[in-house]
Amino acid sequence: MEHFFRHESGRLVSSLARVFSLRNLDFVEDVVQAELLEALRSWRVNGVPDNPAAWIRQVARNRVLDLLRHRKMTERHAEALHSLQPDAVQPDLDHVLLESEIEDSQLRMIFACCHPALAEEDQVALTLRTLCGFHFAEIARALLVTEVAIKKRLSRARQQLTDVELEVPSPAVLESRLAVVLRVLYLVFNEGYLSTFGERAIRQDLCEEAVRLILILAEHPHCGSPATHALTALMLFHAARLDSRLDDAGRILLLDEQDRDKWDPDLIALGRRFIDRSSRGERISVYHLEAGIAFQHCLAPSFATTDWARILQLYDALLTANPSPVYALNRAIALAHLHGPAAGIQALTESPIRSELAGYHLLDATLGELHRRLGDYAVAIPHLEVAMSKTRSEAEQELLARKLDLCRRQDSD
Amino acid sequence: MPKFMLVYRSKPYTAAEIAPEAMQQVMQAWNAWIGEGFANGWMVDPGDALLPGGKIINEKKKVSDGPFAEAKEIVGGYSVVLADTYDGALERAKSCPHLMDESATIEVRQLAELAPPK
Repeated sequence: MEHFFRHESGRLVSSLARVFSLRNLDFVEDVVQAELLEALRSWRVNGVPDNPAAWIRQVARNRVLDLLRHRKMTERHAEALHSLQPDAVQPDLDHVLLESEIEDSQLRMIFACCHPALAEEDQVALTLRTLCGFHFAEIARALLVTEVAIKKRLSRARQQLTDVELEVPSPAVLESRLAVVLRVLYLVFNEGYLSTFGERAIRQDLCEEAVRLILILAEHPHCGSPATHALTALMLFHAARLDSRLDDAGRILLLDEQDRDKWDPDLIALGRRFIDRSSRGERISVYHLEAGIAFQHCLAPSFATTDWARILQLYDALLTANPSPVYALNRAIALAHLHGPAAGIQALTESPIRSELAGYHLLDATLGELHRRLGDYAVAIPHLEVAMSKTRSEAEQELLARKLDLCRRQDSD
Repeated sequence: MPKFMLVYRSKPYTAAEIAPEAMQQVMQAWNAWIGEGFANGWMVDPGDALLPGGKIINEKKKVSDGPFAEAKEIVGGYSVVLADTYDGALERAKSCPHLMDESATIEVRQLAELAPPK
């Protein structure tokens, strides 16, 4: 039953939108919301039925037909829907509410929410709202923006979607449309996985939602491309380690501090299956390379046995594919593990990323940590202090404070 | 043992204000509360929720619509519980999930339990 209401909200909105089109998305959302409230009223007294999804879909179907028959709706909706006759709608309604159609409806909605006409931030917000059933306040908390901003973003995004058809894109454009979808799901996942702000629960929800949606894509004959499978594997490997990254007090545990027995072996095994499936293509995406790195970590029975040489190769390939400063920073960390802290520092000093990452606290944090490992505490301390001043995350500040404390104690010895 | 009716009042909410996740939490809390009441023998009738809208009839048998969604507070449901004393009934009410709603109040009233006419 966990998150049933939220997920059923997303499923029902996606299904009913196929009948009423995206132009009437607000009507569909009103219907679904009323439906969930009715379920709440009934179930709190009578208990949850054996098949809650079937119950709710049946009631939704009847409500929609009743609304159309008796025109029980706002004037605006009545005007928009005046041409829809209940008898004509009924077969479509019955069709989209079939259990076998639910995933297809969600898939169509994923492509709509991740429509290339929309800005990336709008795609993310719309996906969370429409497919994951997040409320404005939850999206605001998840993305660390105000509720007003989210409402604005969503209404802007919907305006742009009014003429978009709910369909899985044709083969000619599928690859480019799929790339946008993967990017959005990657962002949603990372928002939950990489952020050290905000509540743990909502970040975990973001990761779970991204995994739930990508699995729908991965199981589809045309959307389950090698890149889709690689991203699925990447998310699963990360998700397997999610619980071990913080201790009970919410403090960050680094890779060498994590209890590897807490890594979820089922998720790792599932990730491996998707790695296998991802290798059936000719092109290697960045998701392949990132998944490969995450896989290397999962494979190592201990931190000491990590295959840093292989990881370094994968970062080299990533940088060739996409010269991102964040990849370069992580490559330097891998290099430091393989050839020592001095090699890592040298890579960071030589590389053009130093200026690109100037405002990024993790550059200072990394330099500080590498100097600390070299025993250069006098150099490490100012780097760590700068890093601390640049991050607003309490968890990261706590971690940096621990490192600073180590340095100062060593320095005074 | 005396019976008490808990009358649930709150601001009439519009559906859009409640997040699906919150609905689910409320529902689970109700199921747990009602289940506990039956398991411990103090739940007489979990009652029912009242749908919004309704009709009001006056002494002249004139029918009007209401209460409306604009009302400050409406009755949204009721339950009947057993308790030794008012304090006991208040304790039951304090554990009731109706109070998860911000604007909620519970009116606690003892049933007179008048004998039916012979």
